[in-house]
Amino acid sequence: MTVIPLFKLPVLCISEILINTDIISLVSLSLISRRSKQLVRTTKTSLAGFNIEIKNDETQVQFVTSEKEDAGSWFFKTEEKECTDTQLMEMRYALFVCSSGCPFFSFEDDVIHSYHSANDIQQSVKLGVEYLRDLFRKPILRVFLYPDDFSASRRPFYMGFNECNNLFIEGEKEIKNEDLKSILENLTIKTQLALMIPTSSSFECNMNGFEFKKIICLDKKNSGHLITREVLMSLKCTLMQFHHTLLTADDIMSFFERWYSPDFAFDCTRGIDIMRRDGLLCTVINRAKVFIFVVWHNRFPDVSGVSIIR
Amino acid sequence: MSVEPEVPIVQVEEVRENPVLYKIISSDNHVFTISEHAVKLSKTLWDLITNLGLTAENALDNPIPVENVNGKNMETIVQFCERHKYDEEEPEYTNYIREFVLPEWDRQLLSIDNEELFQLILATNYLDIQKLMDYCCRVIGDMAKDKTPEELRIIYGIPTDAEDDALERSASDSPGPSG
Repeated sequence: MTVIPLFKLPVLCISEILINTDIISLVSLSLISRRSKQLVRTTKTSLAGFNIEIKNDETQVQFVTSEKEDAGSWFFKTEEKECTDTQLMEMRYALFVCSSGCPFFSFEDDVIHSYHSANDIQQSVKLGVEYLRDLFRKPILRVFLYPDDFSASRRPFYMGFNECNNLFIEGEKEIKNEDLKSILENLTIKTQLALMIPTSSSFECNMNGFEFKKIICLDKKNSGHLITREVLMSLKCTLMQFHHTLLTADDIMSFFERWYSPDFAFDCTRGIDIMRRDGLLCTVINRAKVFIFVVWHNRFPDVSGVSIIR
Repeated sequence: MSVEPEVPIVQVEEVRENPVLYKIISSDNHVFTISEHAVKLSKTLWDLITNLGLTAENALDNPIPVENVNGKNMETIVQFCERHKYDEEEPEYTNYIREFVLPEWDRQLLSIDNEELFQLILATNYLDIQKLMDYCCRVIGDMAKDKTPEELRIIYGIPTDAEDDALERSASDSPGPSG
């Protein structure tokens, strides 16, 4: 078979060809050389982002396009394989996704399989996910994590990314507090956190800084145990759905009361007043762990019926 | 404009039903007739016809020379244009989605040697025939399916990084136009 010298075609033709090439083939093409990678990087695709499914023995990166939820996948598998001569040829292309071991790829039916040793898989997943994100510059849409029976070498769970739109954690065994804390503190979840796994009521984490707008704890027994009164009061979500929580009626009442009478005021009587040249007054109060800066646009606000925080 | 008299005129069957015909001469002096509807699929040819002021009356007396396309490719192109001359105009694609299915007839037409396909896509690009360009690109894009990087490197003749580097070095070492 003769060659189609791709790079000798006019730029517009190359661009049209790449638009007509499926996502998995674009990944394969990008691995050939720096030039081919650059070509793929500048190609417009219908790729919307990635879903990542993390299990103990494999990580699946799924390609999601605007027309298809499953436009192909890359499976990073823990499996030692004997390489054939042809596969040895492919090893030079694995440098991007493997720092030490010698994985090899197979490309078949819109799926890439790459095989890694147990010691190497974490680093390979990290490099692989970073490679794909750099190649297509698309977000991680959904992460599905199944933490049951995870070996120590497979931690941390998140590799190659530090933010995603939606995180789903599912399992039968209670997730360790330190694991959940590590996930929530290191991974920015932009839209939704769904816990379908038993959690502990001793879980402690400051949820004030979290961005996600939805939190769902369901299906599994004890999935809502981490939702204590403190956690509930610190959440700033627009949708919360909890099954199996240990919340009491009093907890719910407190939450409701805060919604019903949200007004509160700080006691500023012991603060320092500062007046700007234009007459605008502010008060500065420095307490342990809190710095309060109040600007008095209305010098004498009506505080009747408002709770005073001292 | 000189046309070798011994070269046969290629008649594509579908052409006969259309009364307005144009003549095209390939780079190797093969002469083709093509209907008005079909030739409109090529933006380059139709612009040329319009600019030359060719009409139904004088079209056959004024063959259009196309220096960049040989007879073999021109035959494929004329067949393609005659086949698709009455197709409805396709909507602009959005969001980089190519939803069209390559028809079997066209897949057969484009089942040619890679070297020929390469020449055909250059000709298609020159003649600016969008639909044929889409179909050629789909065929070439489909070649990548299920291929490893090494297999793709061979099919598409892609130089390795080492080859690219060597090429760059030799280009920078070679004297410029004044040297």
